[in-house]
Amino acid sequence: MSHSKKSGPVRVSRRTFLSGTALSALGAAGLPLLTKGALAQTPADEILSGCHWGVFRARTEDGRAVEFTPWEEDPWPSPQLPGVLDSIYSPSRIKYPMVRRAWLENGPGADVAGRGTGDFVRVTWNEALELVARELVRVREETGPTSIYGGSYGWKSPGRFHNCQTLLRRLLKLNGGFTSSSGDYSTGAAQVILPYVVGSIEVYEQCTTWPNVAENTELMVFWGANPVNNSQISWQVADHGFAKMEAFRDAGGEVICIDPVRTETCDYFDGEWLAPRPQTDVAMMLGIAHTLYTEGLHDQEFLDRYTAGFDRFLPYLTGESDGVPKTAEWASAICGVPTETIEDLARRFASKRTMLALGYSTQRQHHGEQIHWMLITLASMLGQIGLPGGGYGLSYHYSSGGAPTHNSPTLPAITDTPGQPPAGGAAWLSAEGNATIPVSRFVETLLNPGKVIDFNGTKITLPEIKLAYWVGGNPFSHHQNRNEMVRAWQKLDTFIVHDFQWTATARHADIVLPATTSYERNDIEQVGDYALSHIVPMKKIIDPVFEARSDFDIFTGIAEQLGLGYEYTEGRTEMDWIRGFYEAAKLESRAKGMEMPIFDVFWDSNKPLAFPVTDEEQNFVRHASFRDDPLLNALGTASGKIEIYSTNIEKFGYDDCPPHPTWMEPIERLGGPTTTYPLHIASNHPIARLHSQLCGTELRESYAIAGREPCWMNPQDAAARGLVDGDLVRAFNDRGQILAGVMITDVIRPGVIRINEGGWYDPADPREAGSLCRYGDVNTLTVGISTSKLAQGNCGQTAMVEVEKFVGTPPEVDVFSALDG
Amino acid sequence: MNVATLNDAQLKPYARLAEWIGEIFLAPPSAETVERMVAGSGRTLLGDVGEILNCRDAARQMEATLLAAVGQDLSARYVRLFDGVSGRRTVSLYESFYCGNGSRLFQTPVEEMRKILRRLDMSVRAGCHEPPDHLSIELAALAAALDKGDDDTALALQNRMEAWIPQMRARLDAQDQDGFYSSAAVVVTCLLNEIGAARSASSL
Repeated sequence: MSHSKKSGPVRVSRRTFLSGTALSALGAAGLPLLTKGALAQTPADEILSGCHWGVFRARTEDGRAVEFTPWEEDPWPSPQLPGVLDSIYSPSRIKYPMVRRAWLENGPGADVAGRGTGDFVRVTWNEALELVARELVRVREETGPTSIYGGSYGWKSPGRFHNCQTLLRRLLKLNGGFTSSSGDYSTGAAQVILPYVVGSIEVYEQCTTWPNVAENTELMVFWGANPVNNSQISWQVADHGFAKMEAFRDAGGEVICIDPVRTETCDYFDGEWLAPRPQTDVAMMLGIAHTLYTEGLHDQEFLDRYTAGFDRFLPYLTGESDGVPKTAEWASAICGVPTETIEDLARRFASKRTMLALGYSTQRQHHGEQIHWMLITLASMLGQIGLPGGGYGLSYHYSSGGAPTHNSPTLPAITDTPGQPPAGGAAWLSAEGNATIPVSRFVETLLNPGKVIDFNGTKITLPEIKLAYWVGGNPFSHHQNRNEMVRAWQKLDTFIVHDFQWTATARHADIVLPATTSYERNDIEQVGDYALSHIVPMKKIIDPVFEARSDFDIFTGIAEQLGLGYEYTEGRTEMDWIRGFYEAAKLESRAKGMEMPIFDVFWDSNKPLAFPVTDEEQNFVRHASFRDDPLLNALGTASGKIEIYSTNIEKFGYDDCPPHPTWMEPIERLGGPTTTYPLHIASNHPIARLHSQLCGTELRESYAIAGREPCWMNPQDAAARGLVDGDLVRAFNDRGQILAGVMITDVIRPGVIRINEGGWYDPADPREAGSLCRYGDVNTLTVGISTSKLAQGNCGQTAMVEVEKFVGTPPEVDVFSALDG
Repeated sequence: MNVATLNDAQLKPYARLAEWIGEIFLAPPSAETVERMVAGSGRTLLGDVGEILNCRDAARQMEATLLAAVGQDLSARYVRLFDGVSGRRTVSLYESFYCGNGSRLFQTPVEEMRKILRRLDMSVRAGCHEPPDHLSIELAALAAALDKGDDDTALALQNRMEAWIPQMRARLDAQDQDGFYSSAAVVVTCLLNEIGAARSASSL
């Protein structure tokens, strides 16, 4: 029927019908969606705030963020910043509290294999908070507080107040306790072994500053270190102080990059690229050390005065103890770098003021503890530790390590213990809880309750976990061996998640609570993990979207359900807490001879508050004071010296972590004696996102190939497989299979492919074990074993695979919401 | 056409229908709502909607899917289709998704809709946290414009919805072929057509 035929006068019956009286029978009986009275227009504004990618200004129009621009004093703005705005307004925002239908209808533990299939029920906030509170109490009462896992880990947003992981533990403590985690995924092996070697964790401590390097270093060696890429971001608000390395480049300093991939850092410095086989760094270092020793290039005086145990390491180096001299030739056979190159490195290192900058990925592998230990041994043999521009640096790798530290006060943060004064320090390294497990052992814990494992000289009985609560993290990205993890997750009765986007982790939850981004709440933070150059007001840019609530508000709501609302908040609002942190810093600042403005002036200034840098900090040299006086400034080791042989570790008797740096075959590696798959995966940090953050944004269009995570491949390997640029491929091993898009490039050595970590997990069938990941989550392929009994760190860089062209109709990627799919 | 020449009797009655169909897209239906729609009187009225808007097939399909629905099927269907958990298969109910900056939400259409609501001296009710370019709110604004006899605004709303709803329907058809919501989206289109036709008749 045409409209012209129908468009006559409205019949009475129709008019009656359309009056609405009848329509109420069809369900339109609710309140009118619109009410009388318009909302006032919000004036346009420019609001200063900060995030992992730096300080920025947000332009808003009528309450809507329309543009983020880097702060004008940012020396090296990250190209990832536009993705941040995209994430706030992502179509995959979690809009409402959700409960998995099976869990809601049949209770905790129902149809656990159905997690990830997307069958959720929208509930009200009241319903959600009540469900969570009731479940926390149930699990605590039925199986004890250690059955609740609150070791939630990941790259939460910065901010001293809205630290969701601390806020979670604060709630769980009020509920009677929980199982916590210790350590992290970035440097799990290094941060445990280094206190035995140099007396502190080092990896998050200031190294010799870039200005000092620029002035004094003749040879800079980036060993698996890639600051140009990884300093785009910081744990706090990024300062991008790594820009100061420009002076070293301009001074014409010599640079060697040792890495299976020619990194962005190597490009920046136009450095010399050496590409050993992955996971063979210890062997290569031993070959260099052997050359130093046999050619008399080592600094025996330094070894005698500042180190302990070189004499016990030496028989291993020379082969006296095991019959295998660790010669350059021996090392070459393992690492693939020519013998003469290894020997030449030893001579070059010894003849110049050399700085050895070691990255984190080198220790995220089987026996990863050995790498940092061996590098420090090598640096000790060179004898330049504590000299300007010489020695080693373990924190250049990321977050602008080496940017001079400013003379700023400590900015306190909320603690996980109600009533406890705000504190500084590394919250993620705290091991508070009724039980604590090494952070990468959560899957092992789920699969093996009651099992006793070794850890750093202790025995840990793995608790039985019934409920896991995750905030500010994405374990379905950062944990290894995804399929093992999916199976392990089925042991949980309940999995609760706060997030703002439908990540794989949120999809696998039983209860999903929509959290605000840090741009929808107020907070305060320092700029630069090492620089600490400013305090920045992280001002709220927009009101919370949809029904998102801040983690603090969510936990307060749960605490109120438990009758502990006041205990949780201590009667203080968001701004009360922020003001309190600032006032404490102001007091400390006064003690340092500086006067910070009153809080309101600071908050309304719309700019970061700057602190000066002293000449001493500008030219800081790692371990200079130790070198000056090793007795007065002894290291925190058992001997007070650098320990090349650790009697403490010897006492543990671990078969996978001997008492001195040792080459041990990893479970699988390129060219390994028992390895079956032919290609090693470099699961590096992404170039255009922060781990998995921003994967669900427009930035993905800048790097995805065939709609998937890129797979860099050397032309030789591509030719051997008949692959061309842009091909869709399947990467697989015995642990799993993923799709990826091939990019053929000679910036990666043969035998190695690069698939960055952080691609969103997208199983074709969440119910099927080993299901194909359609987008390219590399941790579907990596091993889930630990580095060793000492550190129990993760081995995210240990994975061998085969790659083949994908044949057939490619399955569509489902995990992202986008206009074009 | 302007407010002065608008024949209220021609257009105003469609306001309630716009509100009703808009509310269907606002949230997963409660069990009571489904029950009411499945009841005899509800089904009769659904048939009447089909007659009045010249979308009998769509109305029948809505009825059929309602009758076939078990338990919270319809609610679950809503969540899967519209609440983001289905990733690529999610059907966005926001104009910004189709007419903004890429697939971002909260883009220019939100600002434009806020202006329209101000012009109507209306705001989204407290407790509803959807942005104003949500389909349901655009339909509610259309209803308000019709109620006020503000046909300039009604026409503007109609034009903007006609610009993006076809894209939404294409996605919906792909995910919910012959389903309740794809049929309801047909009803939306027919409603807009019918209003357009009534306006044309009124202006003759």
